[in-house]
Amino acid sequence: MLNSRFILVRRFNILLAILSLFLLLIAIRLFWLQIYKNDFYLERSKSNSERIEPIKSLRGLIFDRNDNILAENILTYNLEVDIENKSTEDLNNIIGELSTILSISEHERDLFFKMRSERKFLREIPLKININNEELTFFVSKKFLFPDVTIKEDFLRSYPHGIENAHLIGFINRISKKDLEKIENDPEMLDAYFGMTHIGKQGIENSFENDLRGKSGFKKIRVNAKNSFIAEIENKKALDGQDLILSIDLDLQRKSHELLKNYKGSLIMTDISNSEVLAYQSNPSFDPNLFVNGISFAEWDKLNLDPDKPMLDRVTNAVYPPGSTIKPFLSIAGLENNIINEDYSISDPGFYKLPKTKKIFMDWKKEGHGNVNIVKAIAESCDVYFYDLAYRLGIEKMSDGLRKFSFGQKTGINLPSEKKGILPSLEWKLKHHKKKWNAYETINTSIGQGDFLSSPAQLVHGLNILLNNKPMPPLSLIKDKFSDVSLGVKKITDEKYIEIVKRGMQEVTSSNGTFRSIANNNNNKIAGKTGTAQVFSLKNQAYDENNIADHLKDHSLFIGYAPYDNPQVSIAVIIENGGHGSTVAAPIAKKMLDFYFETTK
Amino acid sequence: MNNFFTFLFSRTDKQLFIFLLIILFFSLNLIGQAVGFDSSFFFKQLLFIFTGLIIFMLVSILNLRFLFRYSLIIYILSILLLLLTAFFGTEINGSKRWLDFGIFKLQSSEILKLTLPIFLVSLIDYFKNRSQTLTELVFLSISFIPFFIILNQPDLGSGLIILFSGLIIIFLNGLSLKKILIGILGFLILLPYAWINILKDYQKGRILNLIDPFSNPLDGGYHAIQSSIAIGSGGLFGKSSEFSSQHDLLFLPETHTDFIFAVLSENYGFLGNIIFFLIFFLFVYRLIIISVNLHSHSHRLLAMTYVMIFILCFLINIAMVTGLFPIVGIPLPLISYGGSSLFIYLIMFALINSLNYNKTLIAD
Repeated sequence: MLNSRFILVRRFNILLAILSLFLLLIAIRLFWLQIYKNDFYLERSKSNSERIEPIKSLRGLIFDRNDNILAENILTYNLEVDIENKSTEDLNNIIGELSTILSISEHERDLFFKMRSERKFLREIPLKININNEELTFFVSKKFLFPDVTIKEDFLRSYPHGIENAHLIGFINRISKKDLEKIENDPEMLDAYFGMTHIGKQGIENSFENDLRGKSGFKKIRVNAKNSFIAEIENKKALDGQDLILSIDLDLQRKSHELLKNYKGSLIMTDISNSEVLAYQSNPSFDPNLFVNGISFAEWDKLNLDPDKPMLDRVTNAVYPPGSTIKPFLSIAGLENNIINEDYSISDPGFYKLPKTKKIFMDWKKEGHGNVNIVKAIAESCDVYFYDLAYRLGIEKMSDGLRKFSFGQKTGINLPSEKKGILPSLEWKLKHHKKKWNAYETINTSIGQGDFLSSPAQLVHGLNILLNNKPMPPLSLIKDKFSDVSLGVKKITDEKYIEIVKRGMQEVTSSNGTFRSIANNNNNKIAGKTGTAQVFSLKNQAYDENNIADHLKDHSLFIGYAPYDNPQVSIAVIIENGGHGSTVAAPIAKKMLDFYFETTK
Repeated sequence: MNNFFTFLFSRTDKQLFIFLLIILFFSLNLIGQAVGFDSSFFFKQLLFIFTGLIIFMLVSILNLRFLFRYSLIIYILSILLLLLTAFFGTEINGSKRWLDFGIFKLQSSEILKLTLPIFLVSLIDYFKNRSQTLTELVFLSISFIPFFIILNQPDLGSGLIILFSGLIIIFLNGLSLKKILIGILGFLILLPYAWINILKDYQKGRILNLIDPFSNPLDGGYHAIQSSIAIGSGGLFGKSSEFSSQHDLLFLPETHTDFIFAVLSENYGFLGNIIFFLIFFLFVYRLIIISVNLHSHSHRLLAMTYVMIFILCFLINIAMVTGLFPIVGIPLPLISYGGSSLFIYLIMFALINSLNYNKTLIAD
């Protein structure tokens, strides 16, 4: 029996030894967890219970110069779904359940899942924006069925005069993948956008994004495993965005929208004294409110595929041949270089023969303008006078002269993707066409054709420079930004040249000028210059306005200002395929200027 | 009355009893920390401990000859209890493990920890003159019956512990090396079959989670991760109060039952764990000394088996909480909240205590 006890105790000891090894393993494991990896697990335990919630900043409001609101934030109630740790199937189930009590469109569902896939750091994602009171009360009564769905107060960007200001104000839209890449590369931006869902996409909303957005804050809270609030650890307030007071006048915006309603074109009106933009209109337009929470595919296709391009900002993002509107600026170059003077005149037979060639250039007036001096040449828009001037001036001096008026350069207006157009020069030709300059191109350039392209914003900016006879600050959309610009700036040219050209532009609206239709109805003393830009050069074919496809018709342009004895406001109008400048663009400018003086006096 | 207590204490091993009380005090303290000293769990556990200690005293004066004599009936009753559970048990979280007696839910598989070894050991004398192999096969069969019933509850953990108690007795009783190797080989061959046919998906998941808990952080891996965080964040001396604790914030559920060791580790750190192990070691050491020095082979065998079950459950629970072992629902003996498990262990120790007291009366 001693033997059996011996065996038993030995066996027992074997088991004890095995279990001791097991214990040793556990001790090593505990050492690993508690001593070696202590810092790691402490951190994990902290992050387990800490949650950072964003505090969104309130986007700045946008007002016109008379405190009319152009972009505002409307308090809305949104349904948000907590997506943490939920599969697509879970979320589909939640949405399915929700749609039994509320209507949730396919579009809302798509946007929800799009945002979920793109925004990695968002915990709650809006499903239904701006639910109405009825839906709100109904949901609240059934809230207990949806532990993961919450009602969140949020602000919805709204543009009360959307269509009238679409291109100017632009719109905000949900932050896209591309925006996110940019934001994530910049830690400061990442902070500022923490928890934000929208970003300025076009117009002022885009270019003034940093001012309007502000900086979001955050709240660090302690929660338990059931995500219930335990305590607040840190609270950093959001910095709300700045409000913008624009130089724009809402009444002028409405008027200009109404005037352009039946045309494709644009209009810009500025305060001559300080470069402030008073009206900024492009047509056709669109409703920017459609974009704020993600435009539907159907709506987007409608806008995007429209051949009239309603999304195109025709004031700064489109360039056109400036046509005869270039002539006042060219005149300054001619006078400065002593190619012409006040008394110099030519006899216009209705055509111009380029010296040393057989090339003939026609005047727009077949029978010619007869004896023409500079004032008459501007007033009647005599082509032959400027062909001759340009030929003798030469392309280099011509483009140098025009460059002073900002042609070929951006006006510096604070709006996205401004186009700088093309001011032809020897250098430009060589660079872009790798060809030498031809003399006939100088002739084309003199009437704003050929390669010459400029935007309406550029034309009005150039006109302001001319009227002030000094370099002007960039076109400004903000009220009172450049209040003291008039002081101590070097003149562009001799004041007397300016006076001659101004006289010419004043004559445009006289009984001899191209815009003589208002000669007896010009109370507001409007002066200016008409322009007709060829879209298409017709070969061996007479241009017949009534017998040509719409999209090949000439562009109608007008630049002008008033009153001519004390210029206050300037304007540029372009109507695509509108025909003669004097028949479409100029009357719109006249109505606009009349409206301005009528409402501001 | 005084005489009665003197009578009781005279029959109790003083060292064993003191360590037992310290351990039970630990248990109360940890449960209080896990769920609050004002919670109903705390007071219930207090009640369980008092009841348990009374049971301990009563069982200590039990005549074990009676137990051995009726061991077959006890075994059959235990099996019946398991079957009863299978038909009338209360289902919690998809498994039927409990018999509801109104004031008390009995986990019937716990009973087998106690009764299976008694039955097997009582058979030793009966099979004294039979072939060793026959004895072993009979023992194996007797062990497998409750194992399969418990496996179907399903409760793999408890089932394996029951099976193990049988295997431990066979091993301690002198199973030859050859048979041990055959057994291991057979196990390895049956393993793939068991993986495919016996283990449920959630059980497989738990085993897989052990390899990489972060692969499935919410489902099966959640407990393992949160438990590791609780233990790891305890450090050397325990987590200071400036940090929120894992169990206070409910990140780690079931802290008062299976995961109570995590509370200990989080609040008292590595050092606290060492002290805890030391107390357990002293307690177990005393048990071993008593068991080895019993005078009858079958008594020694029974006591040693109980000690083994106790140590095994203790280590498996800690291995499970520290992420070394799959999550099988085995509570930490004497510490975890719950009556069934506590009573069973206290009865085991009472039986060992009784065997010890009576050893001079019974000898081989």
